[in-house]
Amino acid sequence: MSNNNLIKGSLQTIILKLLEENEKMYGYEITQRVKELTAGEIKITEGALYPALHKLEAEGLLSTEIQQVDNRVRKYYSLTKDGQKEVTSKMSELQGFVENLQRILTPDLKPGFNI
Amino acid sequence: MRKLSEQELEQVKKAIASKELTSVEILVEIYDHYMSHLEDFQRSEFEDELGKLEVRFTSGYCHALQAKLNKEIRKDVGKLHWKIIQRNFHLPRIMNIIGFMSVAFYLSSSIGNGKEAAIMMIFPLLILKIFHLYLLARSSIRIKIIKRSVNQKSHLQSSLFYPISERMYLPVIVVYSIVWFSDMMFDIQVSSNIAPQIALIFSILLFIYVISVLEIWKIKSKTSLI
Repeated sequence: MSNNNLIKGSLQTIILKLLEENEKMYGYEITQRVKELTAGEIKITEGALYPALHKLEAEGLLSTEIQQVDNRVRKYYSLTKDGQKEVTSKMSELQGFVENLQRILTPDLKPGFNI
Repeated sequence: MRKLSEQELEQVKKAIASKELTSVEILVEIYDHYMSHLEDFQRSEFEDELGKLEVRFTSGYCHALQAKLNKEIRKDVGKLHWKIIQRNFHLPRIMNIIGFMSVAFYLSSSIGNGKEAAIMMIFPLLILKIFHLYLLARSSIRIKIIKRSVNQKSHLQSSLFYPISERMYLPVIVVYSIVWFSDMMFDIQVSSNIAPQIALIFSILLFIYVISVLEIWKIKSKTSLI
């Protein structure tokens, strides 16, 4: 399924939501978790993932931690206090968008429709 | 998940080293991504999977990622530094500074000549220089381990190192430019003619600046490789 363009706009929300559920995650783990949750339907490319992680870190929404794992160094990401606040607002923003999109795609739906 | 053989490990290290990355943060992240991915596949699939990773992590992509990270870190360090400096101008800190300055002004009356004033001005810069050498040594030791683990021979440094060390050298360059430029161009011996009170204000400002740079390092060193 070619959904890269559709995912692009919601990638930051996906990352924040995953980190809200898991205390800390590393890059590869995020790609695998998304793949697992969507049964392989959504694949986050590294080309989009790492710039998004670095941007969220620079914005102060994520903090990083370096750990030694199996003879190599691993960079873990976790939510900062600002990041935790941001998850709620980003989630409601995305849900609102999906509801509106649904109304456009299915005009017969009543305005009170909730996903 | 399996453990890669020595030969496979060497191939991964070679692939990573060929990208000639200079940012240790990017290098460890990409290396870990390669290893985590390849460990999920059987030995027979290793070559194919490594090839796929090489297509996704091209040298161009890695260098673009590195440049973007360096830019974002520079911006982040700048923002953090400004925030720390601003903290000095909040009421409890202003009271501390006023108290500190009053004591310092009282003590400045004991400064007898320009040489003593110059020594006072040099003191914060000396702290900065010593700290810079410490930072360089500490960072080199930490990076040496990573360099060795991935067989990287080219230059490698934390993306945070340069933005922080540039800030350390900024006051040094400004102060020495003022002193040397005035001496060379206008024949004004700034260091020996400066009033003790002015030298003291200058030293206090430099001291606040030095503390703010140390605070950036203290915050960033907790989660990075500097």
